[in-house]
Amino acid sequence: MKNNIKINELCYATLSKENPNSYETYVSIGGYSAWKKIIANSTKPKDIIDNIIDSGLRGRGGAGFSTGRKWSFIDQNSDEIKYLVCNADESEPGTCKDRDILRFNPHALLEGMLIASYAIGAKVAYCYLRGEFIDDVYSSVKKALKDAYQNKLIGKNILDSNICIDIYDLIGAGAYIVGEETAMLESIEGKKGFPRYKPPFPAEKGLFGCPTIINNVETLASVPEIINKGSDWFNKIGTDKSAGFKCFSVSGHINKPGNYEIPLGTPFRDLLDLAGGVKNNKKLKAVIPGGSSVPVVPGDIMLETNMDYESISNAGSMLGSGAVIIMDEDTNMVEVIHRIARFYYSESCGQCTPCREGTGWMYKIIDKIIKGQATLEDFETLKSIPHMISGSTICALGDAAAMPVESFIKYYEKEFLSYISKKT
Amino acid sequence: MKIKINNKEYFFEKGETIIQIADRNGIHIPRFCYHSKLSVAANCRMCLIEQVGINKPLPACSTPAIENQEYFTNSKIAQDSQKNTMEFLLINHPLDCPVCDQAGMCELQDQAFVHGRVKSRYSYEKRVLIDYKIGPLIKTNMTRCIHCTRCVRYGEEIAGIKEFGAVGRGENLEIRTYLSSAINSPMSGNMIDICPVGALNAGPSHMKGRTWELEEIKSISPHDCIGSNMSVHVLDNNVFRVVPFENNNINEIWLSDRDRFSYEAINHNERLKKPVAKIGGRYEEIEWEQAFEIIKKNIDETKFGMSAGFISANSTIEEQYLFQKWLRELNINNIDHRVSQNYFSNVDDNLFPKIDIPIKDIEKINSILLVDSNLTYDQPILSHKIRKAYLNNAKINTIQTFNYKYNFETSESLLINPNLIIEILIDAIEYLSVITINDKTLNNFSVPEEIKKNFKGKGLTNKKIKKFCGDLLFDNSLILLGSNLKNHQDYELLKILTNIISILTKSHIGFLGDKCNEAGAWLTGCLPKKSVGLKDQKNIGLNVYESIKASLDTYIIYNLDLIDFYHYSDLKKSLSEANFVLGFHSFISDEDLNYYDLVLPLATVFESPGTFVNIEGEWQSFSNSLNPFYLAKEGWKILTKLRLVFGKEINNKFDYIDIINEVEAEIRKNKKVLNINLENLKIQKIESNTNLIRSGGYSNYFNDNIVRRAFSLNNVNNNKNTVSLNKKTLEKNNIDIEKNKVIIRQGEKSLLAELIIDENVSDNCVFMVNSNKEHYELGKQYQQILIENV
Repeated sequence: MKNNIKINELCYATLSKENPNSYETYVSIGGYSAWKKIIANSTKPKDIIDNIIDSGLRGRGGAGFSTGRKWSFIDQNSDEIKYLVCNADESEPGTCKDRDILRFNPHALLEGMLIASYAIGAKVAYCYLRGEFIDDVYSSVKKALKDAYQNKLIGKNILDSNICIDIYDLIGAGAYIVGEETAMLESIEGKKGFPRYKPPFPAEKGLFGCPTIINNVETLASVPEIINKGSDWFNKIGTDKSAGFKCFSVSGHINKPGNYEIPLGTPFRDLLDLAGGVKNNKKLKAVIPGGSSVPVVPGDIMLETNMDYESISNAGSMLGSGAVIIMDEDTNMVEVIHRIARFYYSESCGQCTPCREGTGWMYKIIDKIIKGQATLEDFETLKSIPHMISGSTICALGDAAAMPVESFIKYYEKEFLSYISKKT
Repeated sequence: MKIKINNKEYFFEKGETIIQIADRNGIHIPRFCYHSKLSVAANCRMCLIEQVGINKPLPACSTPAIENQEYFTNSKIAQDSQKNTMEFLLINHPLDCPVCDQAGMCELQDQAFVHGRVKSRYSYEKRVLIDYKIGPLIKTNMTRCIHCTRCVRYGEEIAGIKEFGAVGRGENLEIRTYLSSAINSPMSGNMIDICPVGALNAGPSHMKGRTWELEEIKSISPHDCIGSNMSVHVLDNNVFRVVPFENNNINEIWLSDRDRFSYEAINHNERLKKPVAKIGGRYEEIEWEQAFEIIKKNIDETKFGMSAGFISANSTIEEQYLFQKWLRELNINNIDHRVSQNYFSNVDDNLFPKIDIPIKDIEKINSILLVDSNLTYDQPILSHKIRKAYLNNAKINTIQTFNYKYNFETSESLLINPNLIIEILIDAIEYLSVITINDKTLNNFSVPEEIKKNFKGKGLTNKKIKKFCGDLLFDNSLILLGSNLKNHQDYELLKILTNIISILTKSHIGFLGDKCNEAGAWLTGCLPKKSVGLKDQKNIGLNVYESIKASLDTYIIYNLDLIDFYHYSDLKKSLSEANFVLGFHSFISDEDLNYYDLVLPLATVFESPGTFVNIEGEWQSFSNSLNPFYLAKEGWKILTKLRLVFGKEINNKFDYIDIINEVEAEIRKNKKVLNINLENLKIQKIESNTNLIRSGGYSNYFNDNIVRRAFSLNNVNNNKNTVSLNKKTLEKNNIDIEKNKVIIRQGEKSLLAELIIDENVSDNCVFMVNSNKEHYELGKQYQQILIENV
């Protein structure tokens, strides 16, 4: 492990302590001081938003949009009811960073949600957890909520300041698509998780038709420290355009799989070292740098890339949710994409035609290829489908299903062809 | 504001989407999920177009136009996207157009023709779904479904009864009903029209013909009082199907199931092919000439005073006009059409089925008081308008004898025994006359003394009445009196009381009818006291009840089943004692035939041209869709011939168009304001009695002689032999609720029926559906009834 990389300083700050998820532990490392300060000074919401814009914090759920700018879309002067929704429906294959924040540092999220609600003028916030979190994650959040209520940090008349903010926890039923923000709003409203078409955007017409801001767990959990230490502190970490820390969930053929919170812009090599290197000292073949829905990057390109939004984008992929999937030289790439395609086939909500029909079609062709029954004509068809799906659906699931297929064919066409030539 | 589409400039208003602008200007954009009457779903992705400056295609249906922006519907991006979507839609859609009912009018087929590939690249098993039954009206073939969700949105937004939903996800997404239940909406047939593919087809015409073989004739619905416009599609002189004809003043693009599927009755086995006469105690088919001879022989001068004629309010205005003209020429003045009315007072009210506001404006009403109407099922189109008003935040209150199911929510409803409606309305008048005492704009309108005598002070304390009246005092309010109340013994008084309330609250008022041309029957003077144009008749005749009670010598019944008469049992008795009974009928049951001496075969409305007047006062003419069945003749022809037979000189060239001209000349010049004359108003002493009373009208599809014989519609009807009472009433009458059967007695008859405990029934009320034969043989509604343990 290299000593010069700061790890686990922000969202995983309590990890090194005993009872990391307890209220006392969080307070002992200075937790809730930002929220108390805001209450005591009656800080102007606009100042908080400006502060977050200055810090350069970007959404950690996948898209990487400036968090402060997102908050500023809410019309502060309107009388409408506003909502904050925390997207804790972490379902992107390979990603488990939010899960550990919820398990080990839930209070940071709650404090972040309180500050965000205050900044956008929401009196009610929802924390929507994925269905599979029903065990330890859910109980950890429940307990944290209870403690925060008991300490009068949430609820009616917070710390006798006349400020009222309620946070409700919700648990989903295990559909990938509900991680899409507007599908989540539908789900909270009690409807089926179908993404909504945009415009109108949620900041204008969201939950129950009211202005709504939806943020990722990691984004919100980063907020209290930024308020405490100032936007400059945060902005100085990382690169110019990618400021701050980011949690990466490293998995696959790696010696020490797990979550690593490191400054953005850290070279991929260092992250690989941190995680103990490729298993069995094998050669790195390929990396999916941001969850299964982003394009795959060949290992040699990845070794020269830094872990920030721009560098990965230059490498032809996306930082996404920060799920780094490592694949060694023995990996059969056709089998990998076979599995990924099946995932999107079964998780498509079925609303838009291209995604409903296209995900299944791609899977069926790849399946045929794996079984050695495909012809070159089938392969040509497969090559054309991702292009037909991407950009033409309501939500990004269409693109998410198309991009991996497109990239796997781009870099590993030979492997596909080897299956096809097997056909006698 | 301006935008550019395909290099041409177009104007638009803020908030309009590209597809709206394109549709208005005749620019074709393909679509499946978008429908101008439904909310936007943007899920089919067929309408993808290019917005200059954005590198991905946008759906025209959900993209709001931006000023000075440029769009292309035919550029490479747009066309490629449409082509791609088409390919995706077709991979799982069966390519079996030759055996699909939708072929020839299928939007998918049309688009495939433009954007589809010659050969499919998809070589895997296609998705197949097992069909499920959702009732006799809609035939499903869900394998063909393209998941546009129009039917789902139709149910939620238009019909107001959510029946379809999308179950499952991804490729397994399936449109179906919850727990495979049947579709129950009275406007369900519209889903067949809005379904862009062959997933939802019309049940009755399934697999019976091809769309391109059909001839289309515009017609008017022969059922409710709205006069929905419809298009009759004819194949080989048979009605193949009926679809709505767009009329934004009346039915928009919708049609109720009753209007859509009633045509199935046309070839019912009770149709008359030739005149039938009783000769020597047996019924024989005879020729027309013979029939006229029999009529001439039996209706002679000596019997004119001893004859009566009843005509259906479902007949055309031409038939009604000629009917009364023929009879009055013979000096037969006992003419009436109000056969379903229970009791006739001496009040000359002139309050005929009408509504004093255009139907299209009902959606703008702010407050509605509904007096005992099963509106959603009796008048589906009107109910849709009220649903629209409701969605515009109108307050809807009801006074009702049964908690009917509506497709809108009511803000306050009062469930009362039918005997108490009069009392409640008088209470309301009492309250209103107090609060409007200083209102100068009422022009000194004073409540008749006869009503004032019955004020008991209750109206001033009853909170619900205050709420109803308060809401009616809003600007632009409406009172609707249900058609079922025609069977109520005080129907005429109910009309007067609601009319007084409408005067005091300055509301609009509507008296609903359950027949398509009741207004026409009034206007043509098919009444004992009125002649054409509602002019007072010199020689006053007997009304229908008096005519039946008087046991006359001759009865002439035009286009009515005997069951249509409220005084059904009395009528049968009088008919069997009469010397000569003449019928003009399209259909006749063997049982009814026994009461006739001669029945002439009448063309149905589908086989005859005519005109109907709806409650709005709109005259709508239509031509015949079919040629008459066998030797049946159009009513106007038979009646004209009869006038000739009885010696009236008629110009040889006299034809159908002359009748319209004559009717119009007589009626349209008489557009006087109708005043109500309340001099003879008498109100019997109102006592609250606790006798059990029978209530419950016909099921949805039993209210006229055509619908009654429409096969598929009748499969939807609930004709079970059941009686419903609420628990309180049952306890009061010491009925053992453990047993599920009871004996009911009405007059001298009795019946064993299944008991249902239903809190939707008002106190002291026994709710029975009249369309069950055992039930109507027992008697009619609003009569005293007894209930006993088995």
